[in-house]
Amino acid sequence: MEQLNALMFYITSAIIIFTSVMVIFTKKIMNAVFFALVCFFSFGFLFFSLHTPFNGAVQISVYGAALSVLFTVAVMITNYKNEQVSRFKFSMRSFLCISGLLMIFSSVILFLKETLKFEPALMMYMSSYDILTNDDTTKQLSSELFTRHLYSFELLGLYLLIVLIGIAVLLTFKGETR
Amino acid sequence: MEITLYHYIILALIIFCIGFAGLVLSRNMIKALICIEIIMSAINLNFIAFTSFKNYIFLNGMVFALFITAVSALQSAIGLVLIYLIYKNKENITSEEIEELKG
Repeated sequence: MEQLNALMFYITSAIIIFTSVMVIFTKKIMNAVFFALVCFFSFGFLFFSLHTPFNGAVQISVYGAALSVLFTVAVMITNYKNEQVSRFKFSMRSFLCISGLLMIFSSVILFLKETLKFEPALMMYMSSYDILTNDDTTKQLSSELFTRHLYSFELLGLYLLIVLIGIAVLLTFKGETR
Repeated sequence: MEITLYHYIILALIIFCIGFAGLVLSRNMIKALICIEIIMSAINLNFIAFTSFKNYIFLNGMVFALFITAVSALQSAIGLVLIYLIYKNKENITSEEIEELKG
């Protein structure tokens, strides 16, 4: 069972990394949207495998379905017919970006390794013996949302309403057109 | 082989770096928005992995992941509306062509 879990983790990770790289380097923007769709679905699968089915369902329904449809519609409205091919040009900006990211990556890995070496307690923390095995997390999550995080939840609803009004105002905006 | 929290942290870090590189390097604004969503998913993965591996009493990470999902969906909706308005005015959504705010 453990072997199967590890295999699933590695396959899903490979799919996520491949699709997110392809989002950057694919030439057609519509293909980028499809790669992103696969990437978000794989994230949802990872969340399911972490025993958080509600977060997985939200991930798939919000990112995988709703946002992908939004992106597709946006591509169709804007420049789907005369696709702007965004070619990767190796400039000073890209060199600085890649080298900075490599530095961040290596420093985080070094930090994690050093911490694991000197902190046996953290080593135990990192082990998977304490992994969440309770499948009833949805019930727990709902009780958390409506008890300890009730005000944040209500504020989020208010924020959603304000944003919806803002979007409606923006769409009725009649500015200068060319 | 056992999958530990360390694996999930490294995976989230790799995806975050890829998303950030895409955000900086891509010229199409829709692609930049997709890269922001990938970054947000990596952050969600970190939160959920930490909650699943240790903090299963309060499930704070899962709640934060839900909030992050909602907020990032809203910000991409606003971003798409802005892109649509820019396209209506300029008929172009390449970030290098939009330079009114450069000063």
